Amino acid sequence: MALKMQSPLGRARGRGAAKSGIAHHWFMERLTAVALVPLMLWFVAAVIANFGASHAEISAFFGQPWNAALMIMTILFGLYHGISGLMIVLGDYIHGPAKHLTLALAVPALAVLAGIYLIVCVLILALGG
Amino acid sequence: MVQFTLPAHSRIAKGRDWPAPAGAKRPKTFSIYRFDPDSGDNPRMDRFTLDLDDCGPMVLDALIKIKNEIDPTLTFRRSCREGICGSCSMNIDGLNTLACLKPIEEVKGEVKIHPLPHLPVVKDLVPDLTHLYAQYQSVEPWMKTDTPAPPGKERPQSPEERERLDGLWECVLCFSCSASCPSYWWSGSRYLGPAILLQAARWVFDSRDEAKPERLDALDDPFKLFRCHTIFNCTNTCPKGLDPAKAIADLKREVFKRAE
Repeated sequence: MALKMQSPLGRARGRGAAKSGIAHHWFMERLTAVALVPLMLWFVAAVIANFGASHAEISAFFGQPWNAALMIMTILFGLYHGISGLMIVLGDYIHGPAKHLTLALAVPALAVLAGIYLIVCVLILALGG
Repeated sequence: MVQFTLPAHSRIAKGRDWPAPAGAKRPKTFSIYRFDPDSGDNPRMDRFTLDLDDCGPMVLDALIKIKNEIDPTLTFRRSCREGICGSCSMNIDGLNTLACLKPIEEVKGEVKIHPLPHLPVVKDLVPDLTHLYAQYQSVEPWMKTDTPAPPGKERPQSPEERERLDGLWECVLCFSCSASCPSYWWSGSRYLGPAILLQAARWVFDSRDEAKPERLDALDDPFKLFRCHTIFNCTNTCPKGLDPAKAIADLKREVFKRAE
């Protein structure tokens, strides 16, 4: 192990504060959490109401603008909230810089991909696909 | 990655058993973590049985009795024995607290005593607090002003302004809270932890201090402040009944308000 002669204060200060606007993310976590309460209630109700529905019926359901809008909001807020949580978990438990950077780039990239894919699916259904 | 198991040299072995004194009417067993870095041995749990009729009421009284009368090598920090100096913080019956404020009677069965968790152990119940003290120094816990004090007088503060510091000034820096915080366990090298953040709040919310902008700058960080996930172990464990979780929430809001 390398000899550590850095002073305790130097180690405690580290690189200093990032000032990366973390408070905004912190606020968005809470905002999306609150928004997801009614959205998830609507989503569960929608799943129950459409249980066993045919493709044409689902297409007609998303053909209603409000249903498509609420579904897209649920996707956006749900993914944002889930990914914020996952990024925190990565920060907590994955400490190797290379490992952390790889995952911290891969997770949001996959979320963007999933988000766009899901929204396109909703739009195709809504437009009668 | 986070380590979830103890390294081989930290595994706790069974230690020595000191039986109750002859004729003990109210025997109580104390199981105490022992570690001597010079011996090269693994840590062990020694068991000491005392007669409560011949011992003071607090866990610290028992520790002092054991050290004085049974095993003088037992090592722990203590000073004031009345909850003001913050020296005798340790893990008693699974909760971080001050040994001097913890009545023996509150513990059912064997009294299990460990050093504060997740800190390097110097010896027995003495953890290494170097990094915590350095983190405390890093928040510059002293009044910083540009305006000089009124000549020959102290800086004025209204009763309401002074009241804002209640629940903050009483902290005795025993670090029971920081050592109970999972976020501090995992990320203690970068996260400041509840004790230091409560102290940071004590200066951020002091109406006489003029360095709030730079104090908040220094906290505006995903690790230093925002690694708190509101687990509340800090508030549950504080032997002084303080609420570090609330102090941290107030700091987060204060940083957020700058962009509002």
